[in-house]
Amino acid sequence: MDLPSPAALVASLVPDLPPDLGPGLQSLQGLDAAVPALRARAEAVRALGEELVTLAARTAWEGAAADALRERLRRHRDELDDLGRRHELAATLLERHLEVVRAQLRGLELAGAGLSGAVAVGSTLLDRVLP
Amino acid sequence: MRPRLPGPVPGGGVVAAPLVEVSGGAGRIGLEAQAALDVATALDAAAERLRGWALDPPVPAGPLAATAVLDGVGAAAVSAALAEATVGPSGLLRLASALRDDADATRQAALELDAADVAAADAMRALEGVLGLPLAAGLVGGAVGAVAIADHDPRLDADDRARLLASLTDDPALAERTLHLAAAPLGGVPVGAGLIAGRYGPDVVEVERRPDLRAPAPGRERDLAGLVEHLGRVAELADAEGRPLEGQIEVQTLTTPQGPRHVVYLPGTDDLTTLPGGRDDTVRDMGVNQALLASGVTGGVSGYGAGVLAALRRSGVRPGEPVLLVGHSQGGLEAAALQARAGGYAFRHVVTAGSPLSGVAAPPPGSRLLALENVHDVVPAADGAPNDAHDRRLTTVRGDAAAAIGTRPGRVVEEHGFPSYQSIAAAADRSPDTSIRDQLDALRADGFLGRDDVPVTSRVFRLRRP
Repeated sequence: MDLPSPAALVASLVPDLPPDLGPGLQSLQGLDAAVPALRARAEAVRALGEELVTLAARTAWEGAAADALRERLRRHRDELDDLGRRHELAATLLERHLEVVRAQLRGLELAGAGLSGAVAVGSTLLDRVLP
Repeated sequence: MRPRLPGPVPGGGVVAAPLVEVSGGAGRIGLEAQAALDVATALDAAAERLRGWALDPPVPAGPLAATAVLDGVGAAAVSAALAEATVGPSGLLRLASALRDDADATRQAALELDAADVAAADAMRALEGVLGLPLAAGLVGGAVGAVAIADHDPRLDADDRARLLASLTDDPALAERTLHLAAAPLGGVPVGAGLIAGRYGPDVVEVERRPDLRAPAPGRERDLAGLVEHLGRVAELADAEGRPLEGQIEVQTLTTPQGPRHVVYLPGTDDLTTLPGGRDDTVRDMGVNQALLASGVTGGVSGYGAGVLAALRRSGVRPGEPVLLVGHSQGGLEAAALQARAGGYAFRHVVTAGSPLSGVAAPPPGSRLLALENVHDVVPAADGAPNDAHDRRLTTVRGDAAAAIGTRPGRVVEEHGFPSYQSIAAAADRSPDTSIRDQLDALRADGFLGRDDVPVTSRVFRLRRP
């Protein structure tokens, strides 16, 4: 009899797994790329804060309204810094999550391989015992 | 009779003025509606970037949801962090909205600046109405000239004159903006001043050494207020009959352990009423003011500046020896123009009191300029623009001299006088402001301030046209 591949076995054991993940670890690559993308966005968010403060500081505009805007932009810079940190945190959490998912998948693949082996042995035995 | 400025207050009697603003240097910004609009546009663009990021998350939602079956807690944590960063109270969308609000507020401020432009234009028309002459041309290149005209114009009754002068001392910034607008069709104050300066024709100056003259206590200026006080004494020098001089400058040479140091004291305008074609032997006249206001554009040396360079040569000042130029009004403008061109001398420091500097080129690398401005003095506004607030080598210190010495509204000449600037200098001496300290520390380190008993050689020169 044809034995299922480990990945196909995983897919059959986890019926909720969407089809694109069914083939196995390969489908995690989209999430792998999201980690550096989140970190790059964290950097871009922080840089935007600095950019705004620098722009306001260099602008030839003075008076109470200008001062108030500069103050608000300094606050926004701090908020954007904080937002950058949140993106970093999301990247780290995603990284950990992917490690766990990989470990789970590896465990499932091993289990799948063991089950396939048992099925193969049982099948052979049955072939020999039952005419 | 030419108006005389109030003379300096002797050392101990100086009351420090409240400092209103310090800009530039190691720590003012022009006002332009367009600049504010540019900021608003940049804020909108920033808001759009944040919104774009929010709508385009780097984590694909489908795969993340799919992996939840293998690590539900982890996927939930990632989703929560992403949600907070995107739609949370401090997330991308909330910040995008806040930046859009700021952009709207900035646009509103720009509209108000436009309204201020209209107010300045109205003020301009009102002044023209009062004086009955095309004040735009008169103002270009010198609010000083306008004050002189106002002060002497027989068509003005006492009330009109008082109102005009009070408005000039109450809000010199309005005069500054008015000048800016008046000169705009000419290409700006420096260009307008250059056009007017050209009508005065070329300048030739003679330099005469006056060993008979000496300003009291040369070389004992331990602080900034002392420099301004001494400058006032140079400005007050009189001949043997007690008649005020014109065109006098002083070159001091200090023999310090670090080597020779030279301090040049440059008083301001002697004749505020010179019209093109009416030049006499007084060098420090309106033609020189126009030439100096245009110097950032023309790069030329005024007759006053040529005389100062000649006096330095005759004093034996060698290239590379550090020089401090201390100037009041036109003298400060001249000092800044000389520093910008260098002319072979190491004009390491310039201190100005009540000088309109924005049309002069920036201090070159290795040099510094400390500008004192009285917020009620219209003269520093004669250039139609504030000083550059973003030049680390240029520090502008603005103080409220009236609050310290009790000048009354409309006293244009008093606001421009030495006691006013001594009080601002005294406040700067005591100020903890980083930019001010940086300037004063450098003056001290270069041997120009804080000296006690270094030998001082004083040379007084008189500049005049032949």
